[in-house]
Amino acid sequence: MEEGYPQDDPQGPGSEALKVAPPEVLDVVYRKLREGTYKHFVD
Amino acid sequence: MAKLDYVFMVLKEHPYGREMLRQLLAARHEPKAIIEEDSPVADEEREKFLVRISGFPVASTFTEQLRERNITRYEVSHHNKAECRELLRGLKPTLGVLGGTRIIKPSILEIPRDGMLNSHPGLLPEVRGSASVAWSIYYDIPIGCTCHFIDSRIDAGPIVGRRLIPVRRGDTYEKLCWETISLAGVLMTEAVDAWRKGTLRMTPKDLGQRL
Repeated sequence: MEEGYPQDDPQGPGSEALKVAPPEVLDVVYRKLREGTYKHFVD
Repeated sequence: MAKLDYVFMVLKEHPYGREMLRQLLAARHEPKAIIEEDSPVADEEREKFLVRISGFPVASTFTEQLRERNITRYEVSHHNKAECRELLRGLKPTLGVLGGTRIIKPSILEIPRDGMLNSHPGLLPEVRGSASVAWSIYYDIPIGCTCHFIDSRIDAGPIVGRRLIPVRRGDTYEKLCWETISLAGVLMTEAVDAWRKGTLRMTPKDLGQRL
């Protein structure tokens, strides 16, 4: 699960949590990969 | 192996930086020093990335990679505090390379004469900030990495390299996160190689709005 940070606190690789991914977003991510609905598959 | 006049800055034992340093050393781009931040944020970021790439290989620890190498390893409590600033001023690096850090403040990033390079695990300017792979999929944006000089903005500054990751049916979120970590190291190694040869080409541009 992605955890949020205070907006003035540090973040990942050279970046800040402009938008961390909450669980509901990750749910969509997993579903789009599983169901093949992500629009940028190369096959 | 001759050292290059750059300093590698990273959160303590961050898997992102471990893979990047592995590639830099394999390419014989040995930094003059490593400055690690040992802090609760470093611990949290490290664990977060390890979860994202669970099931995939992680590069050796810095301790293992630096064994029998004459690279000075410094530890600070915060990359933006006076302790790190004075350390950098003493080291006088020509370039800074970020292998996974907090936002670096102007008082730090202005010290290396040639600036500081970051390799972002997302396509810029389209995807800025944290969890780039997740947001790319969520918004149906191609997945990739971008190597760029940093400035006082977030995930902005002149771009020196950008590349896509092919996504195939059956790929998992964890696999794609792992591939971005690997590609980020590739782009950074290419950038340092070009910097070393004096052939680094930048694409100055305003990197647009956040999603």
